[in-house]
Amino acid sequence: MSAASLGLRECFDQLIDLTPPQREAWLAAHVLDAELRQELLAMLAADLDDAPLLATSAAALAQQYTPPHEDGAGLVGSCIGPYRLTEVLGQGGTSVVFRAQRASGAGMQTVALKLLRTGLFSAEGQRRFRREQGVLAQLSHPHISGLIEGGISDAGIPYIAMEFVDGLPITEYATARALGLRARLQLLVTVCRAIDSAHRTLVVHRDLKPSNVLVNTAGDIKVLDFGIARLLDDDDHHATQTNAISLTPGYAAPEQYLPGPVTTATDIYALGILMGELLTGQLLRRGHGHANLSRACAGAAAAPAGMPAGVALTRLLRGDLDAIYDTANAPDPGRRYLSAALLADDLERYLHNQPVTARTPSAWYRLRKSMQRNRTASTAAMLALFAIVLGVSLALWQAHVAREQAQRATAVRDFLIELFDASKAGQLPDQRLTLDQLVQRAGKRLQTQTDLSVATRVELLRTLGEVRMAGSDYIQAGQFYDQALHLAQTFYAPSDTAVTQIRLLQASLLIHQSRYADASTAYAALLPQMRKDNNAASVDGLQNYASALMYSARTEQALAISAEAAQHAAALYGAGSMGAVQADLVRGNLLVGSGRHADAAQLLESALQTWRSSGRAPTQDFLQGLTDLSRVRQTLGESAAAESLLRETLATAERIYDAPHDRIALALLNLGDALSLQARLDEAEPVLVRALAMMRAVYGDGHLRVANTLSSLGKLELRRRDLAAATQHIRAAVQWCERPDLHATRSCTDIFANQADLALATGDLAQADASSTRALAMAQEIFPQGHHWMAYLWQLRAELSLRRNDAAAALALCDQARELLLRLDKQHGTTAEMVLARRASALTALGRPAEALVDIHRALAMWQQLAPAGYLHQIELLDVLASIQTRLGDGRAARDTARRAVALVKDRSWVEPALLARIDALAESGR
Amino acid sequence: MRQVVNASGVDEWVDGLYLQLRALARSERRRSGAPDTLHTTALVNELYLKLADAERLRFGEARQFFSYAAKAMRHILLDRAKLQMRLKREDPRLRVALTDPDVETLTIDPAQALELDAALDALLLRDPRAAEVVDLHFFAGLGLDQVAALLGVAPRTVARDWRFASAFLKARLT
Repeated sequence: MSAASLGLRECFDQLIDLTPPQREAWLAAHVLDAELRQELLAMLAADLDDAPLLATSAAALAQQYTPPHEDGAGLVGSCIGPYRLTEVLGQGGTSVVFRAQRASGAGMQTVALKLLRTGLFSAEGQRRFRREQGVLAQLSHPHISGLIEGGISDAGIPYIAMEFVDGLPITEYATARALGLRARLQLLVTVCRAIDSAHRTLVVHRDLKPSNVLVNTAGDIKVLDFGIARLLDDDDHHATQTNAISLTPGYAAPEQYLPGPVTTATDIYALGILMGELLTGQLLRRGHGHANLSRACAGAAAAPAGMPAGVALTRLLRGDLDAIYDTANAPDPGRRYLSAALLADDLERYLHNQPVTARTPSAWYRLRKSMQRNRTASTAAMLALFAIVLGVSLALWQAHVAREQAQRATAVRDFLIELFDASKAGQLPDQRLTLDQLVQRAGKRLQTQTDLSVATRVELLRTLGEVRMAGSDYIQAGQFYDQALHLAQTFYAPSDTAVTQIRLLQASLLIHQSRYADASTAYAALLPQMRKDNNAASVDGLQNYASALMYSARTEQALAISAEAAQHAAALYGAGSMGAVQADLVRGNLLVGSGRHADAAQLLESALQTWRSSGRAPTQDFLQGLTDLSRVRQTLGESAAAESLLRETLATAERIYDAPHDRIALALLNLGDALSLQARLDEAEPVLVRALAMMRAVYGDGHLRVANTLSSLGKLELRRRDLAAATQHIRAAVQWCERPDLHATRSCTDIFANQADLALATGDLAQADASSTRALAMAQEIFPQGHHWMAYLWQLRAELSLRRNDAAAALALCDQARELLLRLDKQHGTTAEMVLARRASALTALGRPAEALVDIHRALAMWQQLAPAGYLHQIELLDVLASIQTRLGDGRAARDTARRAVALVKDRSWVEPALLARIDALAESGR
Repeated sequence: MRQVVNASGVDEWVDGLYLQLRALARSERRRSGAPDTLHTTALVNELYLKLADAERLRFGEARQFFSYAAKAMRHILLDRAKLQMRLKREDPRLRVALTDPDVETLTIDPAQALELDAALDALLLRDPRAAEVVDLHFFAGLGLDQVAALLGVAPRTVARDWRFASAFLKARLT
């Protein structure tokens, strides 16, 4: 019987139900592949074996591998610096706090001494510890527990001596004294003022909670641990991540979970939470169903001592205090009180029965509020809708040349206002509409409502489509466009601009969906119309058409259309106008994409300069221009110029957009990639991690951009030889390229190439073979005329051949790559350098070290010029050089080369162990 | 599949798991210089971000939630195992902790955890569902019946998946 079609699982499933003799019979009766048979036998044996590994849970195992926490009790009685430790006061995740004493004049000074659980290893960490300590020492306020001194013990453990406060957490104090509402609020005002004074010296607390706000026996408030979290952070270069260590769930502001600097707004949030806890006696949680203060305490079992209970408390808190609490706790930091002082002012206004600012009524404010409450809709999308709505109405108002249009504007406005009424404040939160529902409802009404003119309905349907497109809901956007087109065709002539406009949007929707070939076809059909119309929409259309062509690998055609778009723009907007500059930038982008770097550099440089000197606010196009120019600089080996352009891009993007945004994320991604290329991995990683978090926040999983970012992060981890992390990220990226409706894209070529690279690093040659084949097939589909990526992939496959001991095949691949680069005139660049280095390895393996020496020297020189800071790759190149020199019998030169390589190693875990062992041994030889 | 996380317990439950993962990640961080540190922190934070908004954590997302939790746990386990291996061979002068961790009491060799990780990758290629069962059962700590409810398949099927997966993995451990 043949079991050729049976897989491992099928065989296993059949076998385990059998008795041992039956199994033997089964195995005898089936013709199995030797490998499969062996695996099955091993599995059947393992099935009987009770390995402890899988019997435990992963959490228990991880716990077992975790070094035990030290409670510090053993240190009582010992000395740290000038202090003698007398008692353990408390435990934290990162530190232990002791009561400690030191001789002071005739008496003893008692302090609270905080001891970090681990040392500050890096010189930078220690430097920063001293610097931050200087800042904190200046923080002098009667209600802030002062820093007495900080130091680093002989063992390298940092400690901080603080004023010792003998008191209760503010909430416990208030309850112990049964304080009423006014007394509690007064305490809070004092806390706010103290926090504000620290904020004015630019120190953020970052971890405010009742246990850090004590009231001593004299009734004085002392805020503890100001800025300590930051002080104890060891890795400054991870500054964007430092918030991660110091947050306490429940008190942490939403932005603290995001990478990014912590601001004073974070403390304001914590003050709001503190207010809630102080007034209701419980820790209230935002976004967990408690819309506000009064509603939260309605369901509470008991009110804290001194405060009224039940309905009376609810009534007390409803209104002003709800509003103050809401403002302090706004999820968006920009909507909170601007300072702790303003929060204190509002609390005092309440205490003096004056109206509070948190309740200033304004229609716009309410509208914004109602938008904030739209849970599923992102604020950005809501604002986009509003922008479009206002834009349509305003544009139509301004153009009120025709009465018909003015009427239409009114009709549109009324229609929208009626729609929005449904979601305005005053309704129960659950009954308010989400953006999705709103758009759905609008769409449905437009189908049935007949008092609007056809023109208006077409315009609204189209607008709704644009809103959904901006919200990345491409399916619904497509439906709205279809409806708009259908309706428009019953009313307008086929060549009317209103119809063309919808068709152009449908084509751009295809680009959004990465369906570039389909988009090209759609634009091609519209080309005569775009040429004839010559308006803003047609210039955009031509530019999009050029991009679609570019991405479907029709470079020449793309450049021709892009030239036409630039001409149209110059004719429409006037030469040298912003419109023309914008068109130049778009064209520059295409030139970069097609590898015409010199042309691109010139065009982009002048367009960006015109823009900068015009004083016009930067936009997306400006950002793209900066990014494109940096890419050109990078390719030309000017990494410093490239980096500075990328930093300008990031700073500009952060200035334009205050919330997480695609453009900021892209700027981060590009910067991370550039740093990574220069082997500045520690700088690159936080940038890429931030990029990933932001991409995910903007797009969710399963998007090209997220896949690209994952792939970049994976590549970085691969460079650092964190293979597990690299595997995870690259695998996640590959998922995007494995969807059923996949078509060849540049990104997937790149992602598959990364996967192949990774597989080579892990020694999975079969995977490396499969992935590189896939990448190559895609590259060939996209660039039938050849592209330097193919050369890159060939040299990857040459490495694969070398691993399989087929040096001749490796050399053939390298030669093929070299010829292609020659034909493409790309003999300078990272790909050319890789090909040279790989060829040197192939030649060495073939016993032709003299020729190899020429190639490796050229590779080294080229790399030196391309990425002088890229020491990791340089080490690899030196390793090849040393082995060639050994082959040539020049042991002395080989040893010197190895020493050069060893001197470059910074973190030994970033270098492949075998390589490291090789150069170590060689460098030591003859000593 | 609805009993896995009941509505009222979601907040506490999510916080609890977050803190558990976080505590593990945090102690990793104390040994700074480990290259995985930042990554683990980011991963755990990312996990929390996905979940912090309890309103988004509907029943239908439970599977995704556990899959994230499993991912985080797997990463932490791997880091932990590497840390143990490092502690064993590291120059003791570099270890600045209040006291030295007792690295000799381990019942399971951390090297096995590393092998397990590699074997899991192989399993994923062979039988994705069995790999998911390992994720949910071993890493996320769900009972096999809960796994069955979550995946919407019969408990018997999950039991077979687990048996296959454990044999497959164990066969690859040395």
